[in-house]
Amino acid sequence: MSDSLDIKIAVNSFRVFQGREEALRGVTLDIPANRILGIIGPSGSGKTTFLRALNRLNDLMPDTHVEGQVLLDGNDIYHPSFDVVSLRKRVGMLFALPVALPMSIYENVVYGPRLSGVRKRALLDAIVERSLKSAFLWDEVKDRLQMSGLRLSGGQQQRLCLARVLAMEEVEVILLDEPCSGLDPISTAKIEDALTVLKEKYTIVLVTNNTKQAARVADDTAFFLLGELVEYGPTKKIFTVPDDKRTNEYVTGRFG
Amino acid sequence: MRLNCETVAKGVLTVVAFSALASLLLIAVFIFKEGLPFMLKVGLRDFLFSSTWNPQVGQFGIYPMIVSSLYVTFGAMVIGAPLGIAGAIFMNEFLPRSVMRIIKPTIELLAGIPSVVFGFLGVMVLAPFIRAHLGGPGLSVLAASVILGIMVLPTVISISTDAIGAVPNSYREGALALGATRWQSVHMVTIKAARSGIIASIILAMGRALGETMAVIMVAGNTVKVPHAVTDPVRTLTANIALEMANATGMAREALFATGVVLFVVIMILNAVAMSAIKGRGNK
Amino acid sequence: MAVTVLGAATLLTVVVLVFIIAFVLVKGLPGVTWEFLSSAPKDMGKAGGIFPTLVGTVLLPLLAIAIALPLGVGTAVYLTEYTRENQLTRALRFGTDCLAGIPSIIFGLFGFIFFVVMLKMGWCLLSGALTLAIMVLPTIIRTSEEAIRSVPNAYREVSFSLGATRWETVLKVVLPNALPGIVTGMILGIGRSIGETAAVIFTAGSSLRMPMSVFDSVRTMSVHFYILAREGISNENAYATAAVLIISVLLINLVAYSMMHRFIAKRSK
Repeated sequence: MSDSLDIKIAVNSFRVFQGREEALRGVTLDIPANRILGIIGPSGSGKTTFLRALNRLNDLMPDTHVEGQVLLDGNDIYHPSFDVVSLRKRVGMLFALPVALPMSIYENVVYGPRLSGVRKRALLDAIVERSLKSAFLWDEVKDRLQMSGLRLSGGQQQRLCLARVLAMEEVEVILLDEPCSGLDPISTAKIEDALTVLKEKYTIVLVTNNTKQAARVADDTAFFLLGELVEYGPTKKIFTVPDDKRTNEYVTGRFG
Repeated sequence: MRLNCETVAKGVLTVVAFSALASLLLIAVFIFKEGLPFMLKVGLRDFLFSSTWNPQVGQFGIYPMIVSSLYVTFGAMVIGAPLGIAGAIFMNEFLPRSVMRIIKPTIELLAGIPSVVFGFLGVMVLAPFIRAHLGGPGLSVLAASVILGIMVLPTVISISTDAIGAVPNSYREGALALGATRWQSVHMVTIKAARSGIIASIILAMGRALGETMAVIMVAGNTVKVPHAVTDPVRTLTANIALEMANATGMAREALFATGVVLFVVIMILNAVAMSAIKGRGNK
Repeated sequence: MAVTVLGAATLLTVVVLVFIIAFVLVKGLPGVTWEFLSSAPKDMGKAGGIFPTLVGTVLLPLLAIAIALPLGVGTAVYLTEYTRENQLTRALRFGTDCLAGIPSIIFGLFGFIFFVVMLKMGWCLLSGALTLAIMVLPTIIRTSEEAIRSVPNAYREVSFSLGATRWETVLKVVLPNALPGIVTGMILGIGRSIGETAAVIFTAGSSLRMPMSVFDSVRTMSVHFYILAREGISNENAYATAAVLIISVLLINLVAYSMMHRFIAKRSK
């Protein structure tokens, strides 16, 4: 990894235990700012557990405890004094199934800002327009902002979820958990295009089951297998001349 | 500030969550507080087994009422249980879904009719019928049993239906595959499998019948006597409480609370048995 | 044949039910005139109407629900959102189930000795409402819990990932979504309270005057009906009151069931 890059998130010897099971073993990895990190690996390899550890969504699962550090801009997010609520405003997440909240498109987007106390109608309107534009959804919905978010198509709902995350002033990192798994190729392409533009302002971590997607979109790629981080580096390298034999077997389709 | 809101909210909710349990304890405490001293004063044996109820002269035997309650409840179950179980079986196993969807809510509506309406119909329709054809004053054990039997039907039907519905289809199919007829698969397999749920429904219905007050007051006759025939008028424990409460003071009032204690304990036991039967079924 | 017997039994049940409702309506509806509904009773109910009892029948359950709803929904929220299944939640549920099984006469006794006598509130709307509130609490808790549990977890996760606290998630996402189910439970609770007699007589009394405050005694329709029937005051008025009672209960149940079906239909979309 190039040292001249800013490291947005540094993960040191990080382990996650669910009950007695070690879901994630000793991961050490640097996530540089303003780049897209792709995370690949077969099901059950701990990719989602890792992703959810970055915004402490794992806290919601019973019997979870962690060891090691996750440093966001140098501060350990697992330190008891770290404000979890503000963490989640800085590190936003998109889930595999696009989950529009059962409210209007407008209300979906302003959910986060409202929680932060933004009240003025004019401000909220501006936020809605800005976010939907950044998610490449504005043109399609600008005339029906009061419509329920649940009535959008799958691809549109996922972009709505993206807009929701982007609506938050404080967001710096965007986590995506297999965001295109239920979507058709055109919607998938729209999301991938959005990410390529967004990385200029944000740091992006993308978990994907589709190695080709990682190859298309990610600057760097990390390969997880059975809870372990096997290898990570620039995408080109991982896909052509990886260091580890297992990585090679996975990216060439020998298993997975 | 938002996190303070969160801590306050959690605190308030924790307190509120105890309201049901707290109410239960409050009720138990007060009923026992008023009734237990009396039972200790008069002695359990005299209270439960003496046949003379005459508060004015200090006689507090509730034996006739206990017997009457038992007869009436038993009578109600004789009528309500077979009808209810038969209904539940028929609806679940032999009726097409579409018809079931109309009949089931209709029966649940029965549960919503106020008990006083049942009692009134018992007085206006059933009692004269009994008086004309079977003798006696009409207001009797029989009348009360019939009315109560009808009133507990929804309970028996709905819980039995749940139990029967919970029997996996594979059981039924297994029996049919072995060459059984529909009816055989029902009574050999399904009923056996749903047995504990059905029994639970009967026990719960018994508790309801035992605790019913208004309808019974209207049709049972309210004479303090150990009944010798189904056409005899009787007074149940619940009726006794309701009728005497208005004018009771001192020891008499305590006696009624003591009756309440007896009812409370018996019904709680019945409910506990029924609930454990229902929950136990999940493990089979 | 066994099946015919079963079928006959079911038919008998349905016939009895229909007969009961039809009989009361046939004998009672003729007496239900506008005058009956809007005027006060005269001669202890022998003549005149039932207006004060209508007022009592509306106020008492409403007040009871106003008390029980926050307690019940709060309990349901606590049990589903703030705790995991453990000793404590099992004890709380056990308490709720037991409460549900207590017969109304015992509630009447309790309400009498606690609210009317010990707290010196006397026979009044408030005593009755508090007692009824405890009676319908288990119903509210059960239906609210079911409604809250049926809210998909994905909504909660999304809310958290956008930086909401648990209470904010409950308030802005979970409760609005569970509202139809909660309202259904509320309506069922009201329906039960309307038919309740034993507990009401001992706590709210049976005054025929119009209640001016929560400390006034009221008579509900079911109590009025009971008194008319038992004291033999007027059979016509008794039937008419019963008709109004039954229609109210039927309407309420109908509303509750149709709401429940719409709620379930929306959920499974």
